Amino acid sequence: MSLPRSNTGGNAGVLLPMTLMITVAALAAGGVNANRETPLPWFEAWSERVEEKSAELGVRIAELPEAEQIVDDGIHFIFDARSTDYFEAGHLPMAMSLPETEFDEKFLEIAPMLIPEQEIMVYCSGADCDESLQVSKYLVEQGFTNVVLFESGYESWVEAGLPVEEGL
Amino acid sequence: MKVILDFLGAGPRNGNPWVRAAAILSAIFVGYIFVRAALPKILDPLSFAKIIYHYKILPDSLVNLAAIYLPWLELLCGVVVILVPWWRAASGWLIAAMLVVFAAGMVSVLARGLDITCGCFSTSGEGETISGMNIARNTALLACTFLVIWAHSGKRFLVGR
Repeated sequence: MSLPRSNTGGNAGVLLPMTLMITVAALAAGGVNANRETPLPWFEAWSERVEEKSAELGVRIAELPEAEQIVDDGIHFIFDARSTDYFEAGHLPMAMSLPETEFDEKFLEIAPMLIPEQEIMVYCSGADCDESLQVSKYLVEQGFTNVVLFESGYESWVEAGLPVEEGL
Repeated sequence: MKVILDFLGAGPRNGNPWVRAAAILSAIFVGYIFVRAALPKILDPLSFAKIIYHYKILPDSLVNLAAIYLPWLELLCGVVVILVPWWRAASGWLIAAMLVVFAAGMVSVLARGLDITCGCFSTSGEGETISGMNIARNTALLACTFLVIWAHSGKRFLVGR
């Protein structure tokens, strides 16, 4: 079986197929993304993403001093959106584990304790994580109207030397 | 069956029969790895964009572009290096370039002490954390890729023109 061989060992034999592959990949990527149900925007301000998305949801951002006050007051339900392993290693005092990936299952256990006006604070590991944003979104979709997102999260809490609890 | 084997095995020009066989197996292996790595990213570009963002290498404006484009280039190169023997050198060079870029990104993450997931084969935030193992794996893949390129290039490859 004889096959055509465009590669002659010279640059031209490799550059043309490389250019074609780069172009075809770009066309496929652009075409598929444009036809997705929710296309990923071509450009997005990722460092401001949490602020933007939480504003769209009507979720307020809490900075560290407010988060500290919320923990001291003990009025809010505090949800840790990180995975259970991270929660077990250390979490904010009085926080409950509500990982983004297990929201449906865990929320069923927690829901009977909550009313729609319940004050809730959600956090994850830090400013770059978005599990807390996702859990806030789910909570808003469930009808909760007083959700606060502690954006700088667990890392800033620990860096500030504030007390943490361990275990489940 | 023979036609398929002839087709997949076409292309190598350099090395003895054992080296050529190793080059074909390497092409299939590297191609499989790239296809396997591309699919979850194509299915969930948002999660892949988050992973790229966590590397903190690209400016905000390039994160989504990379998340949309890179998996398709991985997929195409993976498919071509397996199924298009006469383009193996070309797809090999692209794969090698991607492997070098990925390894550089991982080295940068380790140097900065970031504890983030690799995003190599999964877009789950709970995937494998970047470690020296990832770089070692990339280096092994790079070696396989260079074998593919060498075996499928003209005899002047790396010998001067």
